[in-house]
Amino acid sequence: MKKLGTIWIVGILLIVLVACGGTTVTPDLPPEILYGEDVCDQCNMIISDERFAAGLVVELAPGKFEHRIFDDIGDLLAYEKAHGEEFTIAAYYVHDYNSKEWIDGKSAYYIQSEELFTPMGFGLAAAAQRLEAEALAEEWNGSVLSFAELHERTMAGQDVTEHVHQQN
Amino acid sequence: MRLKTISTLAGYELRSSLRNRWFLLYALAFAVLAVALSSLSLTGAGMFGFAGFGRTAASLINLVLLIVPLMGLTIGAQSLASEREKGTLAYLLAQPVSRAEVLWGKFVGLGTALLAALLLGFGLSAAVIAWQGGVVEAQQYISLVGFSLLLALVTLSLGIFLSAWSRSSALAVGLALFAWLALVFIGDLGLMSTAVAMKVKIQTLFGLALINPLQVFKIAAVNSLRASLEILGPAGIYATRTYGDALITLLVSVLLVWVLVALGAAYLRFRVEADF
Amino acid sequence: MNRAHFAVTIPFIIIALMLPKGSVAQKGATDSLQSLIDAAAAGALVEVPYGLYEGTVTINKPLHLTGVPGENGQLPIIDGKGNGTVLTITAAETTVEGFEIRASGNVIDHEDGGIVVEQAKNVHLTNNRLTDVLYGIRGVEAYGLKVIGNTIHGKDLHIARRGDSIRIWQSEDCLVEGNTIEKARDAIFWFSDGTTVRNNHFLNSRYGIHMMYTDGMTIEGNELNGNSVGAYLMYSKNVMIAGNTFRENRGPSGYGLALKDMDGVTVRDNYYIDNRVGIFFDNAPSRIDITQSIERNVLAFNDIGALMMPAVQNNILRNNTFLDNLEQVGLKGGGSNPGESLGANGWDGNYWSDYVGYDAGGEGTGDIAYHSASLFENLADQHPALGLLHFSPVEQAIDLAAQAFPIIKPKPKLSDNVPRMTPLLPQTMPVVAQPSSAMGWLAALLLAGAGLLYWSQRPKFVPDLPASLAPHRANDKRTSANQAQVPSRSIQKETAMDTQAAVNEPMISVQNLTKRYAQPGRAWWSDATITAVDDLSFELKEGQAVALWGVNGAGKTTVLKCLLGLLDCDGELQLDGTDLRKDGRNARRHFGYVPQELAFHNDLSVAESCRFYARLKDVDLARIPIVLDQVGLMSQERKAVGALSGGMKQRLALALALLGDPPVLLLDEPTSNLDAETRDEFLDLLSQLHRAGKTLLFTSHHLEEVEQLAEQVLILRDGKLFAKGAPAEMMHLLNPKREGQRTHLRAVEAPSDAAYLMTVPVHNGVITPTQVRQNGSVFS
Repeated sequence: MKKLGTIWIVGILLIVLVACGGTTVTPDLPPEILYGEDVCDQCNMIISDERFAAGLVVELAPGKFEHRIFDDIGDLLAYEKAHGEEFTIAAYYVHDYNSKEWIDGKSAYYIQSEELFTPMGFGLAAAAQRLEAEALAEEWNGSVLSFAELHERTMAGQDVTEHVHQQN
Repeated sequence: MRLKTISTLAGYELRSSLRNRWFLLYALAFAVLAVALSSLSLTGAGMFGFAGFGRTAASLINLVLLIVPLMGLTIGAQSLASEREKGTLAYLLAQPVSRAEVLWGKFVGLGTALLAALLLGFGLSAAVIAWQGGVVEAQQYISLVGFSLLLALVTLSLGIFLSAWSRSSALAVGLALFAWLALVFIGDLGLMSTAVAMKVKIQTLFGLALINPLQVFKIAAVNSLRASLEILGPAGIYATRTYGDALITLLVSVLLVWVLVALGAAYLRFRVEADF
Repeated sequence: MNRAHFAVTIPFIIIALMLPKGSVAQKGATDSLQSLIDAAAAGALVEVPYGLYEGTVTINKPLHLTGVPGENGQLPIIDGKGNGTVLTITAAETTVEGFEIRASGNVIDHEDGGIVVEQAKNVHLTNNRLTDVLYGIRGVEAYGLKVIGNTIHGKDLHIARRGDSIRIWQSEDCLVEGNTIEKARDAIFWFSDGTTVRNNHFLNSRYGIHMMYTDGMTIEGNELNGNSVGAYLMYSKNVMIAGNTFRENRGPSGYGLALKDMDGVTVRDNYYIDNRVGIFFDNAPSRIDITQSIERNVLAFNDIGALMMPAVQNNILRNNTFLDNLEQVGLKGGGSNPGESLGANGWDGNYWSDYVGYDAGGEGTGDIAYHSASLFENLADQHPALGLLHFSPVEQAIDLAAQAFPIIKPKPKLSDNVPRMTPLLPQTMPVVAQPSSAMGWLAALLLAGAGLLYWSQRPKFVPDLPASLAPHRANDKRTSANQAQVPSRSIQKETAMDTQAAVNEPMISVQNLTKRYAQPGRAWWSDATITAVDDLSFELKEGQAVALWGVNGAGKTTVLKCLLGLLDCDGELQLDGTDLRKDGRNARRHFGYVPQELAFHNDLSVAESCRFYARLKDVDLARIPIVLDQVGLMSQERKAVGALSGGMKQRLALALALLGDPPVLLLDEPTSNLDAETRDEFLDLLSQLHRAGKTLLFTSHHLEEVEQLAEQVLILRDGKLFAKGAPAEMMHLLNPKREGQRTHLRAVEAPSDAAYLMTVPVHNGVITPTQVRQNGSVFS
């Protein structure tokens, strides 16, 4: 019964091959962005500048997470405002302006300044440490906001782009 | 292995191919369609003179995808099986020839017939393009031709493989037609439903596409015509990003591996075949 | 003004005379340039001779700085040496003309660049060349800035690390004209109402033009080629986009022109060629009370001609030409009802290259509406990953199926009720195709390739003229050829081998030969077998003639096929002391094989067959006429094998077996295809060969053959050796009466012979004993 043995082995190998899956998204995993290639989920533009790039982990169904990526922190907030009811947000990710590392968006400090030229003109940057944020704010004649303040202001305010347009 | 033996066997295969009605019909159909498609698709593009991918290359890719595998598979499938059925194979093997020589002789002879027929079709089509002042670039056209020839050899090898494993000529040709259907339609439909229903990752999708030599040909042809694969959507962009310049090497290797694996598997069976 | 002009120029002319010709190095020149600027009176014209000046330079008063080219037209160079911004202008009404500005710093946070104009009105930057700069020209609150005829080459960095070629920010009424920009990130125009961008080339950058919050802008006559996006226009009103060419803007974004939240734009007379997407509409117009006009554009050879986000409405597209886009119009994300989404825009009166209507009245528009309905397109809009299947036949198959089965037939995603019959091309015409001589040469090359390929593998066994004359030459040798053809190899052997010892060596030795076949009709996973030859052993001495005797199925043919390597079997098979199966190919060189079933390539002629097999056996072609003559086939040389009679084929088989002059002949029922007369003739021929020294192993159930040829008979039953001995000793076993109980097994095989035997009385004298035996032998 050599043949039967062979058939079994091939069958088992096929099942093993099919069963092999890939990695899954979890809330503690920041998105990977290919700069110069990937596009922003809010404005469709190419994400090139990691200093201002931001990301969300959204939970579409219990246990089913997906990434959303943005070229500007303002676009992240605009996206949440426009689509927030379609999912729950499991995590916010922004970049520390100085180290260019992903940091947790909820505990970050935000600098808003008209002098800051960000990809979509929101003038927003983030820093992990309050002191660094204050130093940057001073350099750019801007102000420092906590995540809660920024979030509340955006969600309560008018259309984010409109806000910027008027601001300038 | 002796070259003289292989060339003698190949010569016979070439000669009988050119007397095979089916082969001649396919070759004629390919030449006529290639010329007609080039001519038709250029009436628009030639007039406006836009350098674009346009219809010529796309329609030629489509034509190759449909006809070349049909040619390769069916003549490959007939090769061993019909001779076995007629009994000529047993007599041939009683001569001082090795089975590897017989297999190579088949492959070389049928391959030559196939490639010559394709070159004829592509040559006539190129003549039409040149005459009408087409915008197809010679270099891109050459790559299209090159990949088509490679695809022809892949499908021929697959046909020979089916032939080696089939007891009768009818079965071999039946399997060849099924294989054609599977490669041209069923595989792609499977790929489609995988993409739509299972929402697999694009790298998985691209990997699955590489299993089908027709897709490999298509990807290679598009890649050399366009210098990137983004026309094939996210999976194409992924491939261009991931493999870059190595992509063509990868695709050509996949096709060559198909030839070697199919011929190897055919040889494994043919070597121990004991039903003469 | 004039005096100041002279005062400034003279020292520079002196410096210039002191410069070595063509020299670039001039230490301290920078200081001179900066100090000169500092020294010049406001509004002065400063002519700067050719030379190398080190940056960074600041102009903080109105000046007209003009570079005087060197002898060969080289521009004076201001070199930033990789630090900061090369030239900073903070004074209004300043002109900088004719410089090469290069090597800015590399720090993106500081926006290092070539020229910065800050809070200065009406600055003119003309005919400068900026190379190796992170940012090119930056204007901040630079109202009325004019950037004319410059070339800007970014640093050779990854696209994500580059700076912007031009950035005009918070500056109204600017003019950017006739510049060439390459390898940068974007040319950005933000918060700069009334700016005009005209006749520039934006090449191989990220966004050729990236515009936001700039109302009343005019973008015309530009070439935007090879960028990720040609022009991305956002959040602005009343913008005119006319006469531009968007070509090969590809990549993950890959739009020719993208409109996001744009209100009141006019898009006309543009070409969009070979982009991923020709025009992309995203919430444009953003106000529901605005309609926008998209007219006389040519969208050709794009992956998608026009792509819209689902909520886009109120764009009126008329007199546009949609030419051979893979997908003429697409809806991003697919949407639940593409027809309704796209239908919120106007599509009437465009040219569609895939329109298949007619125009009976000759009014220039089709009499039936154009509908764009493709199931595959809809699926691909919803699942972009399906783009992988573009150009596959499955694409058309799905659409064909959709046409055939109304249940899956998609509704049209857009309709044009008055489609144009002819394309409408604006005045500006991109590259015109030339008849291609390269393709002509290629055509010739390919056709020659086809010929060469055929020639390289042409059948070489088709006789050419000299070979067809060969029989006549052979005729001369006819007598000698007829004389029993003592096979040369045997002769050599006989003469070479002295005698007994060698003769006693077995020529062929078969030990414990066992052959099992797969059981007919067994299941495909089963290993069940039947045994055809069971532990058979025998030997053949050189020159011996041995018959294998037995009923069909006794295993006679199997033995021959095992010797030929046609079957896989167990046991030891030796030829002249060497293992037969070790190198079967060479072993077969020593065998001439005449099969029972004569299957040759029927499409070859006798001569072609001989040449074909002669080449396989590596035999001199001169052997062909000899063997043909030997078997009496000379006259049939040109006949197709398929047209030969059974007897003729048998002769051909023997001729082919003799081609290589092999020492051993393996004959499977050698006379079974022959009638009585030819049989005798044939047996004579075989006897002759035997006498000439050939070793013969043949299967038979004809007593006549055995009597006439065999020196030994091996009787096989059910694959086992039943008995062996000289034919005379074996007669009692070969006798049909003794074997009578087996008659019924054979009767089916040869009914005519059996009937003949039964109807013809044995004693009437017509039938010779030989014939009786012969006929009787059928029952063996």
